[in-house]
Amino acid sequence: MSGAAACLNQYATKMIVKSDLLGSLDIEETDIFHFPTGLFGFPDTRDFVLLPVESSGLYWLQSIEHSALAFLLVDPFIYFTGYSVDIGSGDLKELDARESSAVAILSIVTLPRNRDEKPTANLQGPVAFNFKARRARQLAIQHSGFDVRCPFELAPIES
Amino acid sequence: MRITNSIIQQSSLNNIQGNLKKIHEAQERVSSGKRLLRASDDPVGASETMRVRGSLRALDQYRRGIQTATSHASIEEHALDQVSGILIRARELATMYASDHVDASGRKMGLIEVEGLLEQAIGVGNTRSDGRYLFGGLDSAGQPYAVDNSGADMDFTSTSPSGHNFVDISDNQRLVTGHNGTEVFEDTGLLASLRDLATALRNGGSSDVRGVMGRLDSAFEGIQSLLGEVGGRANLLNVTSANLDALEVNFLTLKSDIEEVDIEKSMTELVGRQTSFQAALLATSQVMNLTLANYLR
Repeated sequence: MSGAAACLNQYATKMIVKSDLLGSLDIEETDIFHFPTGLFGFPDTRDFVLLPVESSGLYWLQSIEHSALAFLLVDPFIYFTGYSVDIGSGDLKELDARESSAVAILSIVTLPRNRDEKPTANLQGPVAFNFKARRARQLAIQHSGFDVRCPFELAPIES
Repeated sequence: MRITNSIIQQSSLNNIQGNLKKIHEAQERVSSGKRLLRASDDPVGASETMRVRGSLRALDQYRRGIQTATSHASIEEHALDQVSGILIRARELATMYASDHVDASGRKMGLIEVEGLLEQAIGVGNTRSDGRYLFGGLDSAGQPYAVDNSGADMDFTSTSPSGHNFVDISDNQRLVTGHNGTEVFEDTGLLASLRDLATALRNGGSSDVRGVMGRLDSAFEGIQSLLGEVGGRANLLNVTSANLDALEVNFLTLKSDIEEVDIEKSMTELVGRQTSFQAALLATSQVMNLTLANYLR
């Protein structure tokens, strides 16, 4: 391999994503997840970047196309024991996922409007991320016994 | 595929650790008190305000549409459960009276009950909610079904309800609010099979009764299939509604940000509104003593 080609391979394509909540984000194209059918209620949105909030188990899902569209996500397995998600064949196909070791599940958080309320996680509509294929999809699990608004208590970040 | 635990903490999976720095920087900027958008000196900002305000109104409208469709789905589910029960009973009776050991007077007792089931099913077909006929299709004002006793055998009349109503649940998504009567009561063969079972019990013998059994079965399967559709619709509505809620909190935050005059004023507003998320973004934890701010430094 020539020296020039080796240099080129080191640089992933960078881009700037404008976020109304988080400001200007420098990301690499490889940070992007593609949602072939968007999210429920937002079917035309396609590309999002996933960013962790320190080590809290919280993440931001920021739309690349709409600066105002951002969701807060939480790792449900940290806060809900016994939670499991069965991904059906149709969803698996859309996710292009072959092994469970490549799929992460995150839940959309609704923040409390009042001081005395807790944030809630949507366990009925988890978002599945295929880290290998960089594809993602929101699932609507039927008969799951889980609610769209499950309260939880955020654990403080270790300083 | 079943997922039962997190894999996302594995840093080998992703360059996610590299992103930590970016979030930290973004939040620093917010904590320093600078507004995310300055409506006065940023011409794009002004149109952003309009868009956000417009979006909030739209969210309310979508939320109302979702509520309507959800309540409709729940009523339809109940109605479909009722006719499922009717068909199960009809099938039991058909099995009983298909036996050659039952005589004419025995079948007559069965007839009375089956005619009762047919009337019940017609009643379900005329389910009303808020004064409207649920299964009326596009014509929700006219009663779709009625008992017809004009002939020797009990029959039913139908207005052949057709069409569907929709609600908008997002910018580009309309959702049908329910099945029409034709889909539930006629295409499945539900009313016809009950009527024919009654007729067989009145006029025929056990083989005539046996002849209807298959149609009762397929009517039942048809209803289960519709129940599955309603369940799927209810699910979709539930998750969409939760997404809208989650987003609205973000929008409310933005709205305050775009229109704010200065931090002090917005903090006073925040104390009034008690929105912990806004406080977290503006790092006002010391004023409001809200726990969320500690976790979203």
